[in-house]
Amino acid sequence: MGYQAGMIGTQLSNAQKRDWRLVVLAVGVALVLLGYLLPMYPNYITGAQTTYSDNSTVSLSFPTLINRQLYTQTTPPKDAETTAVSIQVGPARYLWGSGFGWLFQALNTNNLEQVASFVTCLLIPLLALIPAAWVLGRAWASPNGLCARSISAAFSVAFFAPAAMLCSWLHQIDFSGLLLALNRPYLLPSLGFWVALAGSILLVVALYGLHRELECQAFTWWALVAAVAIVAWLLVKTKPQPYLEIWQYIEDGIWVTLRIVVISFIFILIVSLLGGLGRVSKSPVIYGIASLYVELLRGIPLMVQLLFIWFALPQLFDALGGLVLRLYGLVDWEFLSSAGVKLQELRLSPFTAAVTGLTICYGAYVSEIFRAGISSIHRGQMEAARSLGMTYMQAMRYIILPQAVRVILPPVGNEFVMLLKDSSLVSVLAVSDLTRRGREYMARTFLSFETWILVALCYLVLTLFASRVVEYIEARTTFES
Amino acid sequence: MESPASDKRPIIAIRNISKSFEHGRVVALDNVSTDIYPSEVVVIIGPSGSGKSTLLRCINHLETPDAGTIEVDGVLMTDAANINKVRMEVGMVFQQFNLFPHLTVMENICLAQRVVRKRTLAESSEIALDLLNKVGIPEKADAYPNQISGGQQQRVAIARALAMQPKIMLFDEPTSALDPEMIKEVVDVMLDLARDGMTMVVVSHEMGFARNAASRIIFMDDGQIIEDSSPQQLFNDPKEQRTRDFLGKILH
Ligand SMILES: Nc1ncnc2c1ncn2[C@@H]1O[C@H](COP(=O)(O)OP(=O)(O)OP(=O)(O)O)[C@@H](O)[C@H]1O
Ligand SMILES: [Mg+2]
Repeated sequence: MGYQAGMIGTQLSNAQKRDWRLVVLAVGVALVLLGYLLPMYPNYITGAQTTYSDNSTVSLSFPTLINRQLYTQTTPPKDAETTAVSIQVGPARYLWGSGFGWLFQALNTNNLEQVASFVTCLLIPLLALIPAAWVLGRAWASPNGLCARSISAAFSVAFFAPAAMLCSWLHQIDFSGLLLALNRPYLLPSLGFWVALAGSILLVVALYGLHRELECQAFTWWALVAAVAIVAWLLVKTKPQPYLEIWQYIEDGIWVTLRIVVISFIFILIVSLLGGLGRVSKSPVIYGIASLYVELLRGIPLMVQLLFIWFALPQLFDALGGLVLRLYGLVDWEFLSSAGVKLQELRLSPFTAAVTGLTICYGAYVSEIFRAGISSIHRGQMEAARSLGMTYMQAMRYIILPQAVRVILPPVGNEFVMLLKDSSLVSVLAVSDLTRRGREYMARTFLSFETWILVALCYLVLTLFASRVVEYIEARTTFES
Repeated sequence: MESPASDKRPIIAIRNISKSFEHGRVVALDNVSTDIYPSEVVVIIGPSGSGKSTLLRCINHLETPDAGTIEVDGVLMTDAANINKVRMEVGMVFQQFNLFPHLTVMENICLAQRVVRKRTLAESSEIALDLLNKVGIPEKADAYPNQISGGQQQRVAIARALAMQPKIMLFDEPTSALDPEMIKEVVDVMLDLARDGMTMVVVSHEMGFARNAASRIIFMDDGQIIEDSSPQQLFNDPKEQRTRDFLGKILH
């Protein structure tokens, strides 16, 4: 589905134009717009006064639009405990605190950085309106009917709109102010909020109905990637302590992971092309070598292979070097001595070891995919090419491989995504990849939950993105056969 | 058609070839010898499994004979270098067409010209267009094989083989995968070729073609050549009982 499906045009009759789903969609769009014009958050927290058990008080006024957990973070004086926190509330300034008013005000503050997550939450329902209006416009204006793609786009965004509205309120009152807010009516959102919330729910309902009708995908891939990315980003923005810090710590690990994966993958493709050709070769020697490689390495876990390369290979080099030096003692050739010493001192860098390990292990799996792809091409193709005078290699290059690629591509794409995830194992080799950076941070701070949530989200964004790229390439290379 | 000109040298000389499969359990060819002369059209008939395809495929070395020699145009087919040289001179047309599905009709015809004969794109396209005209489908040049009918595909396959300018054409049941209404268009192309003096070896039970074009008919059974004679002789007065039985079956 997805882009292959492209535009699914459905003819709409006049009766269908008054289809309930389109009517509900129109009402939803109108309500969201109206809600953003009505008062939404008429009051907001401007400061807090904390009273301690020794009767001293600390007052804080919040310079920013959106408050943080500042009042919980003030340290009480020695031997005193917090006895009360009173929240100070002030009226909103622009457009009676309507949605648009808040957006305007937020964009005018000089520390946009701090209000970015609030702005995001407020913007999501408005963003959903754009594709929704596009759907409506097409349905009303042209007889060509509905565009499946814009419906799934609209649905993907609208799906998050109600939750985003609720999140924006949480921002207004702050997480720890929630209880306070609940018994103070002036901190509750007012009419505009509820109207916009109702409107965004109507959007979801209407678009869900439309998407069922057209049997198009509910979520477009970029919406999923965006959703996960936004969750990660909101974590970093709303709770910079510790998420921003974790992010800054593990960020370079992402690049290391990507570098390892991409470089390994290039080598894997080369190795498995050779391996696959070897496995279909008629020469028993080539076939034997290729089969030995594939059968042997597929049976050993990646982790064990990596540990072998990292810990056991240097010993092997050492022994080999010793052997060469012994040979030098016998035949007295000058170059043997330097070669022996070099071999004894040979050490792979962590990065090289990681790439070697991944290449050798995945090369075996992907070789089998190549072999299956090559042998899936009817032997008549090879015979026709040979009968025209092409050599075996020419026939492979021009006839067999171009056809096999289409068979090979989907499973090889899957292997790429697997490789991306399995690359986390190279963290045992002292390579500072994403996983290892996470482990290092956790060892320092013991913030295990926060660290691994963020690491997991990073991997998720990477794999989601990679699998969609793979799907796109697949779609580009399919042909009618 | 006149009988083989005995003063000419044979263009294909097959000497005592044998071939078996599955470690000798299936004998496909059993000590077969025959000569084929330039411009001859030889039709091979025989029951299923009698070794007709195997004989044809031995001529351009798609199968390697276990024993015996084959000489094509004076070149003995033994080492690898000779095989590719001979294959350029021998075109082959398959029962299942075997067009390259990922290439257009035009590319199908041009590819081998460019990588084997080293012709330029312009040269090869010119030859390809000529041949497409000859087989009667110039308008399908940019179609993919799955977009044209079986008869058209087989005609493209013939054009593809002819583009290498072979001296000999081998046909392995070129019409038996075709619907009846498409057989004629392919047979017509083959008749044209025969008239132009191409040396052809044709495995086919298409009796219309055999009667009109064949200079010799070879009847094979059990991996051996049972009878080898002119069409008139073979159809009207076959020498062997086995030939008579077989003709009775296919001619009703
Ligand atoms: N690649 C192969 N492996 C094993 N046996 C084979 C192979 N090719 C041919 N044979 C066997 O050799 C014998 C001759 O086969 P061949 O294809 O030459 O017969 P044919 O006369 O062309 O028959 P048909 O009219 O069915 O095409 C058959 O018994 C067949 O099963
Ligand atoms: Mg056959």
